[in-house]
Amino acid sequence: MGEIILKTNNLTVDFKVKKNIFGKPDRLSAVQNANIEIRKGEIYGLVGESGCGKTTLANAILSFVPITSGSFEFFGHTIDSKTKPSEWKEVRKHMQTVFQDPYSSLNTRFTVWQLISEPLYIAGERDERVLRERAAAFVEKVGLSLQDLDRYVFEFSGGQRQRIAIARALITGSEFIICDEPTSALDVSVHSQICNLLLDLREEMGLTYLFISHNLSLIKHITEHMSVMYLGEIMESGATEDIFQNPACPYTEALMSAILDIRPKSGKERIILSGEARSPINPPDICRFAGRCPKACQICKEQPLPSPTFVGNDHMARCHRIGNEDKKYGKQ
Amino acid sequence: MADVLNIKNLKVIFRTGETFVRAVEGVDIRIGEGERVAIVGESGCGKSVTSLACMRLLTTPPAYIAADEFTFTSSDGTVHNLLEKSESEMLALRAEEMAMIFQDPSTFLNPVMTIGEQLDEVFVYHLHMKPKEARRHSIEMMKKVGIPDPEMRAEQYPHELSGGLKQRILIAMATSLSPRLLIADEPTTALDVTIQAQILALISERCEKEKMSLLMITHDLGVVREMADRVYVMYCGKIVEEGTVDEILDHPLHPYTKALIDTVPGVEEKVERFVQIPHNVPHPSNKPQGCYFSNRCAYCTELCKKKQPPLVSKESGRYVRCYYGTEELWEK
Repeated sequence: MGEIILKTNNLTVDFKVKKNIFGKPDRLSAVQNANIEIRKGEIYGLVGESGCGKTTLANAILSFVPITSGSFEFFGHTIDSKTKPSEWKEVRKHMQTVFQDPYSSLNTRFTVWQLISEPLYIAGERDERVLRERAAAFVEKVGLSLQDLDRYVFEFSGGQRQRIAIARALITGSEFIICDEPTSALDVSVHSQICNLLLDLREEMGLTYLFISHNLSLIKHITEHMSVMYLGEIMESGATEDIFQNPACPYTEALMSAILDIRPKSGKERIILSGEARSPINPPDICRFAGRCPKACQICKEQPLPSPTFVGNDHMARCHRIGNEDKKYGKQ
Repeated sequence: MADVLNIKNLKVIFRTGETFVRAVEGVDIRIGEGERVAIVGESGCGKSVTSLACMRLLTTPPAYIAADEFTFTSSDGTVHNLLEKSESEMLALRAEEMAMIFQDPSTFLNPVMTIGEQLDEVFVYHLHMKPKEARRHSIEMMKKVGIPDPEMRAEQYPHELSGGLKQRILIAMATSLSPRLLIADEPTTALDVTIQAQILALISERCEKEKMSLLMITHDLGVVREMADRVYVMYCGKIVEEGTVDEILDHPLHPYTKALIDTVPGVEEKVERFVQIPHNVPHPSNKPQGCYFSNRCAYCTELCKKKQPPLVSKESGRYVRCYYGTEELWEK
């Protein structure tokens, strides 16, 4: 495994929500003390339901939203809430992102070559001939043809648009790409085309991906490491295979049991969680999943969530039950 | 046992300016009493149009519907020819005999009416109840679909509810008069995985209790495995395969069905690369000559490119639209 290229240290993002113009604003806790480590050349998965903060975490790394506290290290730079824009702009040159919906992330008034070369233009390249040449090199890499360079986005299907978005992310030579649900807006038969393209490009260009998705079976197949988030907290993280084999947190277990498998069922009883995630505004200082957890005990509702505990070689989880199963709670 | 819905050779054509788009081209669908039927296909294959045609919810023009047979049998045994019904007759049939749940619950509910008012409408309009009595029934229905604190929710507006709760409201609305047929058009696509599991369980439970037949429209084969007894696979406005769930998912006979299944890797094994279907779904106005799947099919021959294959019967209740259509084909 390669060196660590991205490491977050207790990264926290809060938003202030005001009910009215007077009074103290409420604290919306989007990401709470997130710690992830991404190594060079791997695909790191981030899963969770909508509103769990996975996109906010990615946005904080991309400096799209300000960090409230904590920091992250990227290629030797340390970025925290006090970092000046000039410095994070330097860091951001090395990362790019592919957004979820290629129908809204691409400007419809640009031609394909303009779209693909726009990041270079922003980086200071003004020679149109160079821009076009670079775009031409990348358009073929993502499986489109040279004739497509002068066409407009509306002429393309969703899968082809996502290819344009990927070419755009690659053109500056960034080695770290954040893919925020890159396939969820696409048709099922196109899913695999895009995933295979991402895998091929990683091989060819030595890329590292942070892959955000709510599709667990996809995460299982393409990632080496992953984190499971719930309401801003990372509940479990580690090697993907370990997590799938022995999920330690009841939330991970429920998520996995919610996968609808088309192969004959293995006879496992499906865990159906009751209720929905609570509001992330002013969360109490206990396990955020306690309200829905089928295995929650008194202690879960009274004491703060324990810090991550190793449950395997390369596998950490946060749950009161770990290590205490027999002693305090009795077997369930 | 009489069929609840019997459609033979359904055709739906849309007029767009000077041209005509053939969205559905001769579809036969039969739904037995208490049967759970699914239509699977990618976007643009005509599955939603078929379901809307069943409810007569397509505006004419631009849509033109024709069918050899288009009958619905209501609970008292009367056979209705849906094509000959006037709009007011259809209004009476909808909700009382056939009801529909839509994909995106947030666009379906009226944002300026409270949840209670919208649920009351069903009872006031169809059963001519007094407002107070209607509200009592509405709250009863909300309890049945598992909405916590229904009295408070009835006073709220749709924007105050989460996606999962809104979908429950839709299910309450659709099933409040115990219709004979429930049509669910991608009911969980807009929802999170854990909520999806809840909603699917709820739909199953309601169907079982009220002895409703279910027509499920989806692109997710996992949902099909979970919810359906019999499956129709649609591609480009035509049915390409029909059979029971186990037949279709375990022993597909049409190359398209086979490809769709292969693109979804199993949860148990790990794959290095994803199986992909080349190209995209053709645009309805630009379908290939001959078999519509021929340009994406791995087993395509000269014959396929020239002439559209007929829907051939294999065993009882098993139909395939392919010249070859045997399992031996996959071994090639």
